Amino acid sequence: MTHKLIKDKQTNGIDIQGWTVLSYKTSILNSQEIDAASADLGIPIPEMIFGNNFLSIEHTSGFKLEFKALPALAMVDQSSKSSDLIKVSYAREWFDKRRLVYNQQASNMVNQEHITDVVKPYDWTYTTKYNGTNLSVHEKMQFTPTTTEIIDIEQLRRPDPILFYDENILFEDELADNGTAVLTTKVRVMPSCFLILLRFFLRVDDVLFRIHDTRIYHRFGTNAVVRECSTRESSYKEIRAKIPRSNGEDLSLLLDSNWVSSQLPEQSSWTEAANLEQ
Amino acid sequence: MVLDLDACINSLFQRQLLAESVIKEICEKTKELLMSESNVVHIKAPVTVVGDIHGQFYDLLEIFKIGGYCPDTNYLFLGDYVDRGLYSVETMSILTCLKLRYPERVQLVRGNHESRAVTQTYGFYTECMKKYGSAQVWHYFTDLFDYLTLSVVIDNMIFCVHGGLSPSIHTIDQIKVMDRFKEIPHEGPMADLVWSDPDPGREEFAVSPRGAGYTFGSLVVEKFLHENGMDHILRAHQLCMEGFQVLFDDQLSTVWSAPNYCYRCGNLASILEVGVAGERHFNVFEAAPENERPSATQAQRSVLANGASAGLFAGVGASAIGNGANSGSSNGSGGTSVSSINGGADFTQDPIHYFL
Repeated sequence: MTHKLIKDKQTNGIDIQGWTVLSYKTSILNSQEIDAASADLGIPIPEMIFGNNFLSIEHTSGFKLEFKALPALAMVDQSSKSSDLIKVSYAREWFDKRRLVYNQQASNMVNQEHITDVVKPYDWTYTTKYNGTNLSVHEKMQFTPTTTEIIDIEQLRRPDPILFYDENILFEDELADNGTAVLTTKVRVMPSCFLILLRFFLRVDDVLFRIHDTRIYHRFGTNAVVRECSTRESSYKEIRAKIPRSNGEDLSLLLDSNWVSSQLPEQSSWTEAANLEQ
Repeated sequence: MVLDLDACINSLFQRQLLAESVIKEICEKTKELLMSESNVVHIKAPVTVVGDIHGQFYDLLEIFKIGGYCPDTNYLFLGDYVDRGLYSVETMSILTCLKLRYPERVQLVRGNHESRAVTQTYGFYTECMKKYGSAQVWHYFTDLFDYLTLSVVIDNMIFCVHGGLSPSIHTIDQIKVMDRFKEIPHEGPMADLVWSDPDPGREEFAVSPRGAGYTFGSLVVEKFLHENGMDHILRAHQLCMEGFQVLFDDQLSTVWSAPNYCYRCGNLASILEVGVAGERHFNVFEAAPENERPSATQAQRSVLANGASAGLFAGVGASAIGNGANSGSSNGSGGTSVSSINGGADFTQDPIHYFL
């Protein structure tokens, strides 16, 4: 089977079996773009926002799926309770002490009573269930629940040559040094199939870990594009306790989403498929 | 043995690490020096102000090339010297030596990363372990962090701090009486100075939705400047694509000095030159060539120094590090197909490419 690698300054990709896989990488958004995106989405934008980066897959049939940061951020919870769901580990202590100081100095704190103001609520962990933007031209090419199509793990375990491999970061925020929220894509294309992993990885120090994975799988020559989504979550304490004792004070394993993923219990998963036939 | 600071500085410029015993001595002496510094250090222009560096040592060398070397140029560093980048040890070593050698001409302000808790997670601890084989050097430097000053005032007109303002601080004198010789606490004025961010969409203070920390608005800035008879606030702490940002009708500037942050953001950086008449000029620069294409060993070190990259980049090779616009080659494949590197590779040996 022939394939052609695509490569220029900012784009990497591959043409294979009627598919075009493209990964575009450029710098973070500039201030103007950030202001526009923030106004549009109604929330502060993550510190490192690769808003123009994307991973896309397109088939000659008209099927097209794209992964981008801003549509993912559009799915971040902005309901009135959204920022109450998770607080940083020391939020209680912070709040209590603050109130104490104000009470003690109430007389000269009069002009500061307005600091009960909280920035408009949003889920500051940037948790998103985004699983790609479907840009297919035909309506039938939407994903629908399936019980017959699955990701062929055995095929993916085979050490077949990887014709194309790429990683792309869509956004990353350190939550003001309280952890990490990062959305990344990975793709590998083999002679017989391809696999994409879109991963939202969240660590809130001393609070919790959370991973939302979306896997896209297609075996060349078939009509099905399979999408498998899963959510995993656990308390920080439980995962930290799994670091080998020999690592001592080194906590860097907790930054490795692959390692954390292997330790996190699955909460839910579902599988869908889209049909390439019109 | 007498400590030869010029020799230390020279070898650091030659990219050579100092011996652990030398770092110990330098840190001890610098602590003594810093102990007598006020929480608010008053200096005079001209001075060149540098924002976050985050262990991007090659870009710091570039800053000296652009802004001039010590002691010909006076420098004010606004904190966040360590973490994320590959060379926090080199960065801290050279800044500490320069401070000790030219105490009146180099000022080091504390940033939120100059903390034990933060450096344990974000790379500095791991880097010290890898480069010195023990945590001693990390202990020397993090003990030194507790002595760094919190703010600087230039010519009584420009207030300089790492993060921003605090609702508990109205006057400079309130900063002067704080006890700063400790780990940065989670709350209180000391935390606010290194953490808070301006919010151009607001007028007053607001509490962050994450449950701790403040943002401050235009009226807060105006009141603080008026009360203290100053005309500008200068801070770092926030990444921006252009390398600097000016807010609130030219009353506040953010200066960011780590170009192509984390070797992938593709952003510009700047240093801010403050002249004798108070004029401000942002000198904008791009990443040093060494930043753009870390060598294979650097890539390897990045894995060690920054675990966040480990899961993403380990084993992919040097060029995969550069995700930013400045990196011409952002895919591990280079000119050849990845299959030629990995063809027939044992699945268990290469979990990065063979992810599931």
